[in-house]
Amino acid sequence: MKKIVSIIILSFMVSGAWTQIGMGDTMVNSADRLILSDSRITLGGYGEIDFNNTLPSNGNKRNGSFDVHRMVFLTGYKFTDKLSFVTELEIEHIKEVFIEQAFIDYRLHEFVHFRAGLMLIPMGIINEYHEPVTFNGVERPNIDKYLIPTTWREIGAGFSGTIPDIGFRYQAYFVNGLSSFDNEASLSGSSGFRSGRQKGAQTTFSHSNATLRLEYFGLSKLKIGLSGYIGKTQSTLYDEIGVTENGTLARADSSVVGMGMMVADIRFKNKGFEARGQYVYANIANSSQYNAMFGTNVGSAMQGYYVEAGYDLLRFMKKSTDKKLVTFCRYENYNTHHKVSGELTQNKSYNRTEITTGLTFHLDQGVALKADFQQFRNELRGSSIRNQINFGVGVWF
Amino acid sequence: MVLKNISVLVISFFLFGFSHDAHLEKKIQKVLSKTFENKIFVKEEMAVNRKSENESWFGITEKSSKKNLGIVSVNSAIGRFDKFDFMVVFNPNKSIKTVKVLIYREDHGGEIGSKRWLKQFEGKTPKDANNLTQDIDGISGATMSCDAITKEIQKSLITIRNISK
Repeated sequence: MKKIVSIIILSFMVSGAWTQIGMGDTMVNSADRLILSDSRITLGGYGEIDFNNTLPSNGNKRNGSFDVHRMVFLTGYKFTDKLSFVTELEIEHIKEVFIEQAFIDYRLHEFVHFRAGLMLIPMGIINEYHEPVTFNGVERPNIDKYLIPTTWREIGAGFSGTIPDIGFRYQAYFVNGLSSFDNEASLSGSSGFRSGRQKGAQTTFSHSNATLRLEYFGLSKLKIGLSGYIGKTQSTLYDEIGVTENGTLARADSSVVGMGMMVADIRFKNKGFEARGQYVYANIANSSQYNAMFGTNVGSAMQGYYVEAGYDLLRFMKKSTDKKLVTFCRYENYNTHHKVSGELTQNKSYNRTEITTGLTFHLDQGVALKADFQQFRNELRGSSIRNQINFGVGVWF
Repeated sequence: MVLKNISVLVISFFLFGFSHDAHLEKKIQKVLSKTFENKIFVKEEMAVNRKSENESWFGITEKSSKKNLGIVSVNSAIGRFDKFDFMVVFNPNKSIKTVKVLIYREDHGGEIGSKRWLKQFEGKTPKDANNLTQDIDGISGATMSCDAITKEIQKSLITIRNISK
């Protein structure tokens, strides 16, 4: 499935020399053949092309939108059997270019890898595994958007490894953190940490952060994960502060918040049945000073969870197939004002519930067609329910 | 166990130039010794009409009696970024005795080395080849590696069906 393709094959493909080579009693195309050879370059990628439409309410017409949401191109290069480099170039909405990952991986031992560069923060399920065929629903869960600001990546270094016999995997990194002030306040009550992502682009570094993830997969069909994150946000106000300048330092200190985040997640698969759940709790220290300084309404704690269950309807068919038609339902609740401190009062509209029901049709392990119906509501009295339909094409290779 | 791992870590630094093939061969021998314990066996390469380029097939026979103990496939597949090596030990009746991941290189998807997960393949016969991808439950977060090894083992089951031994 995975593509390790040499430059030679690329030039072959360009020149149209796509030949079939007989091998025993099977036919293998030239790409497959070279995939199996010891090539140094890995190419891959994923993409999502979506259609979203909020359904009309009270007679108001609502336009839909087609969007090439994201296309990501992966390139890996293997220097030695132990040392490799991986990078993902992402293009969002056709016009925004990002680097999603760019790190070296050095295998020190069977169970110990050293990693350095721009890496994904291993918080929960989706931030690390967001290829569209790996999750149900056209859109990612929103707790993985506002609480865990997916795709959350930071520049840093650390260790990771898997010990398969005891069913244990770990990741531990020291990283740069989210920004809370970069000429303007970037945290908010409604979207949490989302706008704090520095995306590895000319970042500000004022405080170091650390993250740890432990996974247990020793029980069959089940995977349990626990992630932790601790640190402080980054602020440009620390630039050129003198030791004696107490007032300025206090101002800079007020422009950062302390972050403590905990995520617990579980995934279960058994034959045609699949289920997953995730719980996130984020503590935001110093939010009252931050709000007082910038007039923002950042909560002092955020909390959210989702549970999802799905079943592959093609399991009812007698005939064996590689295709899957998964019907699923996801229930999600998150509150970016789970707790507030100081003068701030809780905004009930930040306590949001979303129900997503739909289908994922896996035409192949790497291709999914998606359709779903989403209901959004919040706890504010008198607020109306918003309905949305989504269709999407997802690929991963 | 921990001490041993640390010493392995230290030693592996010294043995940096260690040949990859010798390393793989050592792993294969270790699995065979464990699988056919208390038996002195001979491993002989077999000429097989294989379906995978990197696959090698071996016949395992007891040294004294020349009794057929089993057939072994040593193969590799591609996970997310890199290839990994694994072996399948077949019983003389062509059912799978055991599957072991020998060398897993990349950080992602190493979960497939789990004994418990690989146990799913045990007892599968060439008859199960067609349904194999449905019968094996994947591991979340190791999808590509799970799919890759399952598809390779599926091919091996088809290959061994045609072996006359």
